[in-house]
Amino acid sequence: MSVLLEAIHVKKYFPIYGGIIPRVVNYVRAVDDVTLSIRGGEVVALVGESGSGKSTFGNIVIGLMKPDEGRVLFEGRDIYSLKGPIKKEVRHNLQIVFQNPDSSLNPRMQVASILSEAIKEMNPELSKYEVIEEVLKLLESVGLNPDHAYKYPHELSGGEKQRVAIARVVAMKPKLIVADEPVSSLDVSVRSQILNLLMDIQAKLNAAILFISHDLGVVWSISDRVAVMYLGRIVEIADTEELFNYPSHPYTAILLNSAPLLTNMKKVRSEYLKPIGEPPSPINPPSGCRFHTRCPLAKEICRREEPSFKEVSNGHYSACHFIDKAPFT
Amino acid sequence: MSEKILSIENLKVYYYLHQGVVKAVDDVSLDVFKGEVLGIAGESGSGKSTLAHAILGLIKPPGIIVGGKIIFKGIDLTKLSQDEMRKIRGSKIAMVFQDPNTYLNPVYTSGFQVAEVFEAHNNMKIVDAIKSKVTEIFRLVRIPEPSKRVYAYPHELSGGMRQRVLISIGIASRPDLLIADEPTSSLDVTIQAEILSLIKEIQSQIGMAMIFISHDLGLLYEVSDRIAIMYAGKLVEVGKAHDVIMNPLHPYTKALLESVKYTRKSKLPVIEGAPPSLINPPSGCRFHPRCKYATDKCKIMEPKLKTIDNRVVCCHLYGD
Repeated sequence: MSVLLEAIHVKKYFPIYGGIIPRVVNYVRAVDDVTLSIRGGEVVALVGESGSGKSTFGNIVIGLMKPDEGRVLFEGRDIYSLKGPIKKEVRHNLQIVFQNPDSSLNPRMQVASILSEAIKEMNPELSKYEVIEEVLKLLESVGLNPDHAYKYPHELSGGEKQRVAIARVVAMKPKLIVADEPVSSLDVSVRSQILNLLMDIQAKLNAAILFISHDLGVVWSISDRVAVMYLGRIVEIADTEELFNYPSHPYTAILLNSAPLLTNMKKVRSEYLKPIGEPPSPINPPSGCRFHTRCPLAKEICRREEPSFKEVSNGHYSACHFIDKAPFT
Repeated sequence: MSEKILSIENLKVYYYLHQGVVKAVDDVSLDVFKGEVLGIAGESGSGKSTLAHAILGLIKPPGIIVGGKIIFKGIDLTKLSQDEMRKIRGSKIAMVFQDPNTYLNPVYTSGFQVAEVFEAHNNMKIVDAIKSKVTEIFRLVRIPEPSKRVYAYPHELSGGMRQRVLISIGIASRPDLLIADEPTSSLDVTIQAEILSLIKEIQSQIGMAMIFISHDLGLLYEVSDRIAIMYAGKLVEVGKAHDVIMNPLHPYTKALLESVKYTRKSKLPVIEGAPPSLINPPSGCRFHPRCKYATDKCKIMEPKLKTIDNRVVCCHLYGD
């Protein structure tokens, strides 16, 4: 498959203001030099703890937040320097499902108007009646019935709201969907319904998905590749099975180790692999390797030198000085 | 298992709202034994937090304990006055809440808030308590530099540290029963694992019983001795953690476990439908509209709790 979207050395710093006369005193380095490419029709998972910058990266990729440095290319075109109709077309192809449907659906609009907005954007020539027909088709495609068309978001359950959010995405027929923790606000028993729906849609549209999540079980189940983020950087990226079975970055191993799982996937169990302390702040990330303050394997070199990406095996990259110590299984 | 420390009998907690009566906890009976960890699992709205609040006497109108008993060491807690309850709450039964950001007071130091336990129950002066007892507890929950951190305000601490302060408040008086309501769900996974092993360690050190509430079955399996599953205000299954997780009896437990057994690149197993409204719960068994095995009997008759080889299950499929 050809490359659909490329993020090249993307950086996003949020300024922190302070002092009596407010001025910038420091930056939160939310995304600090991330390079990632997504192929057409591929499901890439982005995992990491809160504050690792995964949501910020999702917003940058979709065109919602201009990066301070670096470029985002969609089918070879920089999405932040486009203008006019091409910009519109590219934006149609980049859609997002947010974590919390309560804040992403307008509480004053009925489901039908929420969806028809999207439909009219795509097909301005449609008549009123044709739009309504499209709305009903969309509702059916996400497993809702026609009754839902004239309801307001507050009349729907969490799962139904997320279905509406997905329907709105489907209307745009995008080539890339960013799913930013789409199920973490939902009940456990409803989660798999929504995930299945999302994967059905992905198969039908042959769209790529950037799946942002901290639920490793779900990531294991649906993704083709996984990128692990820590403090604004990607520390390891590999095919899903490769990453889960042969993690080569200590942080990945620790992440896999600490998640309580009931799945039939292989579990990393190295007792010495326990993280030390808590994540440092992204305002003043540690020198050298950002993980060295918590890493059980850290040596002098980790404090001084930032590790570069090394290829562990085909398509498996890891930013650690000691990849030869891996895999931690 | 040794003696019963807490015994809940046919407890009913209803909320009287404009829209109707929400039967948040409906006829639940449950025992907690000395020194054990009892895990309670359920979706949001299944009544697990209401149950915890009822044990602590924290049900406020429009919520009312409509019926049943909560017997703690021979005393029925539902019959106690506010003053009597206050003596037990925080000293004999304590709680660790979910979100340290809302349960810690931002204008008091973390040490002060732990010291309040000693002031209330041991007649100690706050200043003395902070220096002696609280520093000791902070050491126990592995807060680095405890003698300094007792004077830190909540905002000066990280999420994991704040959760440790909450745990300190819970264990300060070495309670007989600690109720932990999703104590790790606001934390990141790597820290969650650490806090979990800490709680477990302290629990066995002090020898207290613990009720651990969570929606995450994987997590419960790691910490609990026994697990109780709740659905729509009802208890559906209770048993040893290993039995419930490895060999579930109730269709809801089965489906719940099925839905987190992820396999590579295949459809995720699904429980159809959504959790019911508690104002108008389905007739008969509350799970019947979503149950694969439902029969006509399930629609009409409410199943009773049945005991099968040391396990309790509430389903028509079993026994008679």
